[in-house]
Amino acid sequence: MRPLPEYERLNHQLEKHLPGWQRKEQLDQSIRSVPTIEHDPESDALVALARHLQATPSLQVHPDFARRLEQRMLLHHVALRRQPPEGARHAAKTRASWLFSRPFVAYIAMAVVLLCSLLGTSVLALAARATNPSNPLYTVKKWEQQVQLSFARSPSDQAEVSLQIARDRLNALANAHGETYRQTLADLDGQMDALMQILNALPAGQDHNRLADELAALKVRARRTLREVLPHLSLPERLITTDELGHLGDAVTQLNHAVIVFSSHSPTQATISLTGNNFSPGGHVLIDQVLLADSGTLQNGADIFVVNWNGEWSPHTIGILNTDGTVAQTTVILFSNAKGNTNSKNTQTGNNKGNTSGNTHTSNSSNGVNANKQDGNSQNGNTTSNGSNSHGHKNNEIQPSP
Amino acid sequence: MFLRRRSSESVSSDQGDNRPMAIDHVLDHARNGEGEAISTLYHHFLPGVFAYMASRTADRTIAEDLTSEVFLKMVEGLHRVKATNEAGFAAWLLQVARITVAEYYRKREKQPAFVSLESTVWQDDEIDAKSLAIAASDPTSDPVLWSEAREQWSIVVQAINTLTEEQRQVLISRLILGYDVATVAQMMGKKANAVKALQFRALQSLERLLAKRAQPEKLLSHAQQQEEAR
Repeated sequence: MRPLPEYERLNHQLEKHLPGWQRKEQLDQSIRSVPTIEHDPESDALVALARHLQATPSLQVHPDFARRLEQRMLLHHVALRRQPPEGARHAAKTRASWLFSRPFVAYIAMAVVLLCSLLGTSVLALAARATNPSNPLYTVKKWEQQVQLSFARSPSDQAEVSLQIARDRLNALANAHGETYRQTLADLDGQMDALMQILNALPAGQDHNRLADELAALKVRARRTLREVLPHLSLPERLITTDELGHLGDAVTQLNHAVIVFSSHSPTQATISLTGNNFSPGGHVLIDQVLLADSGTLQNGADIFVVNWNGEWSPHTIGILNTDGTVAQTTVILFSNAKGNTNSKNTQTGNNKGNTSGNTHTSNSSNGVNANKQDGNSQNGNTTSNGSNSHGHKNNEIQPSP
Repeated sequence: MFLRRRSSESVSSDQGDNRPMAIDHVLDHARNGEGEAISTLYHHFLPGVFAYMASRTADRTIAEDLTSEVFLKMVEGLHRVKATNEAGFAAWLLQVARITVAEYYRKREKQPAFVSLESTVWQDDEIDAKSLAIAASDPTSDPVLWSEAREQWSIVVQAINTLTEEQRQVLISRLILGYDVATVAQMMGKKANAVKALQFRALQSLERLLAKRAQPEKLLSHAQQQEEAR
């Protein structure tokens, strides 16, 4: 029989001699029938070493330590069971760590940028459709148009953008009221002027002609639109609208001055003579923007009105409301007696632009009419420092023209 | 898989097959958080784990601390253990022990170096003054004998630490845990003959290393006598 390897011999000896292994060793022997090795000095020494190792007290557990550790371990086990499950803790930790992880922050940043761009696009899209100037989005639209205008480099592009803006302001006029209406109308006027300047700078050619045609069409459309909105406006808005109509080339009444002639027979009556252009029949006189029911007659290019006069009146503006809704007004007022002596006039340059407030009348009137009324006492400094009339009349809105 | 213990009163030997405990059932109960099952696992593996620790460090207190650490980790990691038999669980537990010792030595290396008052056994035969002082406070022990026992055991630990990890695990599994060759082979993922060869080389190396200082049996028996005397 071939001798066993030395490791096999040692194992055989260990299983034979080590305490507690005898039973196994006997089983192994019965199964494998290996030859018994009684005297193998090398194996014997190693077996002795193994036996000593096995029995050395340094490797044995002290019962006190074993008892203490068991208690500690079980307490630790109980403490662990009171805590949330590992899965939940891990999930919470994972959530928390993911929340502050770099990719998550990047996702959030991307989402915010995307959201902002979507929001911005939506706002711009909504603003582009806004036609009501009182809508806050309309302000965004105006800003957007200004940006477009600033990005337009060539005069042709600038003209296109200006044309577009002018059209937009014209569309917005129908929905505008009060101050918004004035602002929108001023914008329209400004864009028209800008467009005219660009056109004048553009060399003659296809672009020039096309833009000139579009501007002419826009003017026609503007005049029509302004005429349509005119009846729905207050007097101040009618004044500026009438002025704009004149600016657009429409034939509107223009007042140069008004002459007030007092009757020597009836101190309660006065004749107001309005001098200017483009008078139309059926107009009504306005004294300090108060409509009087009397209608005038056209004589020698002037519109003459005979009105009941309140002796305390000291008018600052005299105007006319035409049947087509246009309004003209002047602050150049001459006072005269029946003999034709002109005694007083307002030196404020007359205009019909609706300067309805803030006019300071510094008329130096030696007051012929009043002198007559006041026994010849001259009255200097017949001043009113603001446009609100001193007669208790409101100079705001008037009824639509009769 | 059933386990066989060399020395344990809790193991009944009257069943004839030397396999008194069904570890898979105990593992299942322990995973479900039953304290009794955890205690059973603890009592079963405590000798092996402590022996491993005591063979890696000469200081018994440190060995006990490291052993405690291993069993606390065992409690924490029971639900993660995939082993369903004793060999697998023992392999996992010894791996935890090995990592724990490695961490201990790594931490100790990072600590600032200091000049020890204790002379190493490899340098001279002087009596450890610190050990003497500690032992002198214990009236039941002879400080000289206690110190000698400690020094002798340090020599053995030094020798064991020069073995490979596989050789150490074979020695612990075979001599302390009392596993047969087949179980150890299963634990280590090796063939039976490889385990036997590791066992042979481990004892042979140990014997050769200890022989440089003194006769191995003498060293061990001397240490044993001193321990018993305490």
